[in-house]
Amino acid sequence: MTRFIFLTTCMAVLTQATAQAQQDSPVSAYQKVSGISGSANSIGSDTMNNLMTLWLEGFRKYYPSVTIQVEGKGSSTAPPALIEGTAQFGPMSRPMKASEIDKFEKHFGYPPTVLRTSLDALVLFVNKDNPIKGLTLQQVDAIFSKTRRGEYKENITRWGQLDLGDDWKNAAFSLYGRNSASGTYGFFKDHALFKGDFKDEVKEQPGSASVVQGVAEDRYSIGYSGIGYKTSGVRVVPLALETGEPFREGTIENVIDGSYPLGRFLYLYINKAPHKPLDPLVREFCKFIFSKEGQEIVVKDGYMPVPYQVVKEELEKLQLPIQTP
Amino acid sequence: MSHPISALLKRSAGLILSLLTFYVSLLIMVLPLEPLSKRQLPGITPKARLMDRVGRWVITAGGIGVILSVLGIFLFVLMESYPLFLKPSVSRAHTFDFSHRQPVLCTGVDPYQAVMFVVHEAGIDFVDMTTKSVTKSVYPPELQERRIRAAYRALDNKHVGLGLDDGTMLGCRVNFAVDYDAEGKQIVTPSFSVESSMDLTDKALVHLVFRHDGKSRGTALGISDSGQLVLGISERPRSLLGGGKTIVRTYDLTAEIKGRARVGAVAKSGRYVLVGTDRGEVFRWEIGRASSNPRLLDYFRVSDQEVTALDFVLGDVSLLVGDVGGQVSAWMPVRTHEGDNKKMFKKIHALQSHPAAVTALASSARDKQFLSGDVSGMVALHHMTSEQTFFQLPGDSPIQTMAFAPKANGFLTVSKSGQVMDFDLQNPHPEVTLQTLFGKVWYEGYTEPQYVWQSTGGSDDFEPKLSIIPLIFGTFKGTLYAMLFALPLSILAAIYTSEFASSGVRNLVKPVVELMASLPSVILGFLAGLWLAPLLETRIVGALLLLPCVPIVVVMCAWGWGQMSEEFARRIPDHWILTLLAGIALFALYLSFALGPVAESLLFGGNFQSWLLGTTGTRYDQRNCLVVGFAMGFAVVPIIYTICEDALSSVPQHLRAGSLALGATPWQTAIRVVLPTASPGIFSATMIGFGRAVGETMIVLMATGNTPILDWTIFNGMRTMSANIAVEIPEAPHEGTLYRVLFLTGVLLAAITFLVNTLAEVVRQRLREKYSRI
Repeated sequence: MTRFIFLTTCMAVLTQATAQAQQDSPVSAYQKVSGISGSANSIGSDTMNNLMTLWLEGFRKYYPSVTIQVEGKGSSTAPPALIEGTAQFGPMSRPMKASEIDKFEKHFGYPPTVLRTSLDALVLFVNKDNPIKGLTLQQVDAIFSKTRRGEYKENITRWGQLDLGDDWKNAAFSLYGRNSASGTYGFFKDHALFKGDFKDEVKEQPGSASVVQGVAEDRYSIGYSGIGYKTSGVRVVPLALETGEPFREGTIENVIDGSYPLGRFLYLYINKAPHKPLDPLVREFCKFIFSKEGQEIVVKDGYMPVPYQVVKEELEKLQLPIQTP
Repeated sequence: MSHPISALLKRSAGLILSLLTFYVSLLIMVLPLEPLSKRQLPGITPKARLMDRVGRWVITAGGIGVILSVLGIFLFVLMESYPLFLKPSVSRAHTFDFSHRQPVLCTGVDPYQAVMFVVHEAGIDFVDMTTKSVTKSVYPPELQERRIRAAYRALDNKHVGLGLDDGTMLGCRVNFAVDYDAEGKQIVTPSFSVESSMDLTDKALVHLVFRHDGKSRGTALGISDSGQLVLGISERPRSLLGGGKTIVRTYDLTAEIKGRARVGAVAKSGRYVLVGTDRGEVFRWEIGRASSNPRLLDYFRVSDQEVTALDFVLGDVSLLVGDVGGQVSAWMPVRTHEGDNKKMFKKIHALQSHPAAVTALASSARDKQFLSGDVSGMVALHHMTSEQTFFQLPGDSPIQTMAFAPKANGFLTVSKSGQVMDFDLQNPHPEVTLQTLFGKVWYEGYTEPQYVWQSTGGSDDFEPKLSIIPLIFGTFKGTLYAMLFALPLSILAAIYTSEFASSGVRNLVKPVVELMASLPSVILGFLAGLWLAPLLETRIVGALLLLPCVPIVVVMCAWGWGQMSEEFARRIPDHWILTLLAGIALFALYLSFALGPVAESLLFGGNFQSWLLGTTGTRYDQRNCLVVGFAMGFAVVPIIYTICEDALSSVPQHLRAGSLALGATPWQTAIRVVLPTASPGIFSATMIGFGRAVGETMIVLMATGNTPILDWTIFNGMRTMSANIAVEIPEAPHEGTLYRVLFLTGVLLAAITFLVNTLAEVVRQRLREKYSRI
């Protein structure tokens, strides 16, 4: 028992250390400028809802007069909002589809600007009592998809098919997922279902929080969402890319080196006209996201900060100065 | 700032209309109605007459206003969905004469249709589409003295393969750099570079397919003028830092096929390679992960004649086949049976055929549309899933090659004589037909045609599945279970309070039930989804036991009551009886939940859910119809109860008195006399309840899993039309296909309600006439 505690402590320290290492990247602290006020709207991803709110809180410490409303019903709500001008920020947990960019371009004559703000591991949750060790991507596909493009040998409908204890032998899967407006839904479909289709039995929840809540209360359930929504009532299932490969947790190292199969960027889309300066409020908010404080907030919300290289590229996109402390 | 406001106005047209209706109806309600009834009386004052006239005018105007607003809303919704069924518009923008460059091998255009490229024997010409002139000609130095004999433009519009007369394949990249001038207009600057080279054979290549997966693997399939079939794969080891040496492998596949290779197709990932032969067969190879050799998977007959054109539809799952007889068809790998992974290619969609041999196919990079061209010069546009052929444009010279504009808003055709034609195309909703909305459709990856609703995917190569049938089904399923719960309860309650209960009880019960109606449906949905559903899951057998338990206990108690002396029974006041009855019901409730676990272990082996799945194959879903029926029934009960109660109470007292005087018991009087007389009212109560349940959104949204399934079982959920609109409208792009289909379901919902209400009104009138004589 003591050894176990020791091990866990070790691991905790280790994770802390790696998180620290990430934080030690030469991303500079945010520097306040004068004359920023006004209001803006953010409409889009539910996965990034808390993240946007936390960024906003941090941002308002510098500019108390600024108001930004955050609405997160799903990534697919971001492009229409940006096109119609009802939002200045469009957080999305999947990249925009070409057809969505087409519609934006039709309206403005130029494509939207995409910023990679943070990293997320899309994770599978099971009830905390569930003893499962891990799943391969093919098994995930066979659990959630009716088309089974992952070529797993059979359709998985009962927990017994995964060699759990007797208690689980005849228990049917209860599947929780997101509604189709969600970028997480689209990402999961493309990467975990190999572009196949969901089973009709997947219960589509309006938000990540309801997925996690559903899984916490339903013993034989499984569901997916961004890692930031993890609670104590659920367990995260380690995943493997293929049979025979080791199961991986959705940690920052595994996401960056690609060994965790469902790692992804969380994006922020903005409307930036070419060769024209950005609106000061939008500019400062973006600067804040890519500052030391902004990236610390990412960690606080359970997601992972982007590597320094990405920060540099995104600031270049916005034609903003890259400062090193 | 004018823009968002106008957009808001456009969106809120429906809202404004309904507000208008609301105010008009309000106006009618507050109007003094007395003058009308008194207008025939003599000696009426001029003031009263004026009021009378004004009143009549306002009421008439208000009535017409209501009808107009309702019609207006209906028209607005209809207008939003109508464009789904419009024909596409196509027009020829320009014809470019490239007869001096004949033969033109391949063509393509940038996403903004500003610059077109044309590949000919010696190199590439770039054409400005506005000035219609060649702005840049590239003669790649890598060509040396060699000539280009075959060329292929990949669907990503970036990679171009050139097949040379010495059997070499050059992998090239066309790039369109976009910048903006001071006014925000695009300036497109094209560039061309040769990126890789593969020595496929030593004969001239006459047919070439080249795809690059965008990361590490390029795959080239070539057919030489001597009929040799060759495959080249270039691979770079995958690593984050880029680096690594590119390795090229080539294979001669000529011996693996029967007959002579005619045309080929390669999946973007390079995993599948397909070849069509002169005997009407298609051969399929698989190239697994890095550095594995091609493995012949299978071959299948696609035609009795020679295969002359082969291409993948966007997504690289479905294969398009064109033959020398002019047939155009789409083939997909289909799992032979649900249990295993063996897949066979099957002909799923047959499109309208050409009068002559098909020479070229071109897929759209945005959806499942594709073009087919034939030897007579005819060009046709099809959509695979909906099996539509939108048009067939006749021509005069055989089609050599074609290309869709990247945004699918235009296309280019190239004829043998060197004419390059540029067409504009507007076809915003190709995937919608009555068949795809209401019929069974065989989608990619499915084992059979099905009704499926799955509107969105993560990328454009997703095949939208827009069958409304599961939604209509779900709407009726939810309504059915809600009515099953609410109808007996509310009608029996109404009979009890109006016929048997004392006035004191009635004055207590009626307002309390009516108070139920004031509960917002969000609260009901929330309670049902997050409190009742998990509770029911653990006590499902107990809940099912309620059905026999409560009546048995109540009847037993009633029997016991009958055994008591009349003296004793009379001394107990009415409200005491009610309390007693409630106590008995509560006891029955307790009893059934207490017996639940016992029954579960005795009858169902300890776990009802497993038993259900094991014996009937039905999955128990936590958010099921039992929960929805209860929650929605709860919402409907007050409506039905109140109207029923009013109808029963308004039955003339002399009927009851007459019946009782003739010796009928109160029960006989209630069932045989009062109930039939009140039946028109009860019927309308039922129909109003039905209408409420059909349109109810929040409860089904929250208390079901919104699963669009076709299954009547009580133990799983559904997705109703109204919940579907609520779930999907925020993501539906304005004026997109999904947006319009959602409006169409709105039209359907309105039509169903209208139909049910009209029917109900007719029946009610009949009943009323029948019983009005009494």
